[in-house]
Amino acid sequence: MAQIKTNSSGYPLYPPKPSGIKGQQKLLTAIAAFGFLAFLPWIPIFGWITIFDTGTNYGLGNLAFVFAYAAAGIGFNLLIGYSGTLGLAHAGLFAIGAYGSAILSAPPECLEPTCETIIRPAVSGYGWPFLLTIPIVCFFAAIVGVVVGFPAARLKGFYLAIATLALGELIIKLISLDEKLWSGLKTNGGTGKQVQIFEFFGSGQLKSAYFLSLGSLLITFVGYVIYTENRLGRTLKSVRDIEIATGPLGISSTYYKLIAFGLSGFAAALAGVAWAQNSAFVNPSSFKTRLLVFLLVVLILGGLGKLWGPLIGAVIFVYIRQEFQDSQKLLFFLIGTALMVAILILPKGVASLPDRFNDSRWVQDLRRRFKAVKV
Amino acid sequence: MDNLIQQVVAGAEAGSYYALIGLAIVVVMKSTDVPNFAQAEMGLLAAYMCWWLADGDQVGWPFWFAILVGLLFATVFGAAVQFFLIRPLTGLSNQPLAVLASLSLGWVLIDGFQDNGLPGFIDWIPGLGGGYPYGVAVTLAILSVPLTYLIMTKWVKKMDVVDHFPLLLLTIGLTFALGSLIEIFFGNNPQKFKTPWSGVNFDVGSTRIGWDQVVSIGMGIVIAVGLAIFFRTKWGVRMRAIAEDGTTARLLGINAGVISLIAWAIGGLVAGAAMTLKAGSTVLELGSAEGLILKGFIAAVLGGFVSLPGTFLGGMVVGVAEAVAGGQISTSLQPTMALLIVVVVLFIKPEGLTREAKLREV
Repeated sequence: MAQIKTNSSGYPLYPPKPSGIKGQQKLLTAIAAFGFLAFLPWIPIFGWITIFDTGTNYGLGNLAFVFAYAAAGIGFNLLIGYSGTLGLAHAGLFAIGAYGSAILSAPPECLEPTCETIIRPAVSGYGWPFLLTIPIVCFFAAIVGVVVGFPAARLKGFYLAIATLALGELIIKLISLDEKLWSGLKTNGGTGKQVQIFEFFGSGQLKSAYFLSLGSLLITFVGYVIYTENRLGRTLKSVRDIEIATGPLGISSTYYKLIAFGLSGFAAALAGVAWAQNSAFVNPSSFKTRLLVFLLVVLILGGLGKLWGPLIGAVIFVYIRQEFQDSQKLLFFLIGTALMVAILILPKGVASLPDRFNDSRWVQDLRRRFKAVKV
Repeated sequence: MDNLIQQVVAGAEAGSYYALIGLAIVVVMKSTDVPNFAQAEMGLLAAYMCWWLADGDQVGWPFWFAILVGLLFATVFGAAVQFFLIRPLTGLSNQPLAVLASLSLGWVLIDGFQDNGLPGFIDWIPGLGGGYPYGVAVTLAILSVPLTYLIMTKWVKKMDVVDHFPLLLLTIGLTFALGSLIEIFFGNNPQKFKTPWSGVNFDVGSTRIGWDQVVSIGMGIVIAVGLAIFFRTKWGVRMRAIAEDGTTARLLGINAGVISLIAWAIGGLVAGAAMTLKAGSTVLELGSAEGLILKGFIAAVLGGFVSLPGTFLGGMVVGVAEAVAGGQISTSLQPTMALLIVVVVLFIKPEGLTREAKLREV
């Protein structure tokens, strides 16, 4: 054991560094998990769960939805779980990602007989390369996220929730207005728009959508870890927990909240792009308040403020959604009830179960007894 | 010009629904500090109840009796939501919830043990696949009741400090659950709710005005005035005391639980009346709650979440502005009008239209 420097009274001069094993363990777990997920399309080991059977197109698509929802959930987690601001404009930001990449990457309008294929205005776009549209759309959504976050400078709690909810709804309304607003906004109104499918090296739509979704999850995951393990994350935590004290310390809480808004907007748009590629069709009605509730369920059921929470929540959510595909009314009843039960029984989500188990009196007793035997 | 009058009247009609939902939200807000997202959905349930009782093809009771029973149901339902779901999260007892949850789960499990009544996602649990004789199923279900009760009483956290966020999420979950419950019980077809005054018009000058519009606006004003009078009575004053300084009011011996129960009952009644009026004037459909709740919240924001006159005025302003902007400028502006109003108000004057709102930290 390394020598700890002490002062004359025997107190350590600075706290001993954490051994680092825990951090490495976390990193290794994450690498193993993502490596495993990347090879899943070729090793259908979840065959016994039909919904996530990666040997079939159905299971592959479902898993891609899981990753997309989890990515959006991680962004949401950053905002609600980490900075403690109730921004509820996420459905709108998600829609910006989905619509933005679909419009920018669709082939330009072409009605002349000389064209190779005739492209009607309803499916037309700007013909940009798909991979280029992703960063553009995400940065745009981040800027919109910051703009949506401006009320956070003045409002708190549910006032902020309502302001951001209205702003998110406004984004969806503007998308469905389309032509009446500006003809260059080729969202095709309320009828919805076909998405130009992108394929990685001819691997087919589903595998491409799978890897896109996995990639978006990886990016948001890594971003979340970097963000929360660093100064920025700690500052945000203090803004959440002791906002009164941060002002005198010279930390502008508004500035840090806006950063959280921007980052979560980025994540939401990234997830939206992957989601749109997977579902191949976007429609304003799929981004309404319903999507927001889905994301809340993913977040709360999984675990607010936990790294793996959104992924766990997304798995549970997609499982329930696919299981009850045939009866929508029962599905929504179950989702609503699941949200209520989660809040009442597990306010910190499924991801907090191990902690809760460890902290329970029974386990503590056991541990103490084992220690006593050892000595 | 005639067009304008017609639009203003139509806007005032819509505005009175917004105002009533907003008032229900404010009353709940004043006593329990919960932004109730499920308010319109609770009202819709009551409106469906009224329709179901009054409609000739369903139960077919006399109109006024059906309305009375339906609104009574709305009141009781509002109180029940507070009693079972909100209490545990506001630092009060969780026993009612535990009893309700264990009994209802036991009832569902009887079906599950007996035949394949359980949904597919839990029937892989050994023993839940079904196929038991009735007696065994009932016994097993009864055995499950104390287990659920124990889990609920042990695990439902009684909070020391009331946190808005879980409460807000709870009402969002309730909205979803209620919406699909209505669909399960009453179907998803739009229904026509016949009232004695539906389809009867009269002319003012050359403008045609429907009696349903007059009734809606009139009832909106009557309920708003009634609420204002209620807040001057003994119980109303107590409610205001709780809203302004909960701790001191509790120290003075005001029972916060009972106050909250009354507020939820009143909220349920007002929302039920609003949705029933709307159903009688337009059409009874599942989607009507979703649009109305946001407008109700906008009305409440304009009143700063505390002021009753501010909220009523706010609802009217939103309704009339929507209708006039839609009629005079462009129809595509109509759905975005209310959202624009609330965003502008929250940016410029977040404390609401009236001065009373200063009491609350925004």
